[in-house]
Amino acid sequence: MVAVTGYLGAGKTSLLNHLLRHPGARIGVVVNDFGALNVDAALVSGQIDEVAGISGGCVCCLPDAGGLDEALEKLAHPRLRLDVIVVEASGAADPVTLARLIRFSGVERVRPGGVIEVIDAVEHFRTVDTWPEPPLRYAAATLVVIGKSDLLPAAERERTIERIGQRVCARNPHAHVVVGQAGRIDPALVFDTASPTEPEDELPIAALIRDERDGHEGHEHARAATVALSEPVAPGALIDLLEDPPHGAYRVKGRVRVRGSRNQRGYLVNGSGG
Amino acid sequence: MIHVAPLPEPPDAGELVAIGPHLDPAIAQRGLAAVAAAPADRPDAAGLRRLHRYRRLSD
Repeated sequence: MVAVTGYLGAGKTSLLNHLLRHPGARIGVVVNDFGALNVDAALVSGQIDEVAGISGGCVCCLPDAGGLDEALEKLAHPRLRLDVIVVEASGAADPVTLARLIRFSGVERVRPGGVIEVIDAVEHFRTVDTWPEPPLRYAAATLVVIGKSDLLPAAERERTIERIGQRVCARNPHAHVVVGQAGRIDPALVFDTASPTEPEDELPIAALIRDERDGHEGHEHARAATVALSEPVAPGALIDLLEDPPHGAYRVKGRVRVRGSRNQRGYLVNGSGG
Repeated sequence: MIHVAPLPEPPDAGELVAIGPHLDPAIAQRGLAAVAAAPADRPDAAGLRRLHRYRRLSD
């Protein structure tokens, strides 16, 4: 489960829509909009595999988190075979509270996969980062996506991106910062798809949208390194890698064999968030 | 956030992957290769305890 946070109008829905276009992706979405009418749910509806809306207030302020656990319970059902659940928070949500709600969610089959904070480079220093101390919301983020920097005057662009990165790092040196216009980040940073191809008999609307060639699908690919394993790995060395990943690694994942006292066992391992 | 889940069967061929927007692939490759090269010909009791601890936390 991945949470997408960001101030009002920062570009959270654009990022979600970009992830939804990823070929073969089966994504469940929990959409939280601030108001009785769930506008964001309407924006993403029709492009989505499973959606659950939480309306009437910000998810982190509503009693019982507005039914977040119930929504996750529904979306985590194995019948749905989802690759990832994305919780798109209201722009008014407090990412720190939301991250805590997610971390301590008691829903089975759901595990935290990171908090993506979306930043509007144009408005950020007028709306979010306005105090001498960097905002607390940076502390919850595992990945910070700086958007709309293409709308800045060319002379200010690089400096603004650098300044946002410095402010994030001052509050949270573990967060990874990327520039992604219109939410265009590499989905491999966020989740894996079980199948690289489109389901044949499902999700015709999603498939149609993915087929659109509107010039907005492209993103800069994240860098990756891979080693093939033909032998069992030492569990201590494996855990060392997950606890202290290579510099710049946002995710480390693997399918491994480990020698036990009596036999060999297989494990899937994942570390995310740097 | 670390997650460890058992597989029904040990995989014939495994892999380790590191991904990141600012990853240096050569450095990361060396880090992954070091795990692949670490001696694993006999059980590593301390390592197994750490692995199982993460497995329990992942349930």
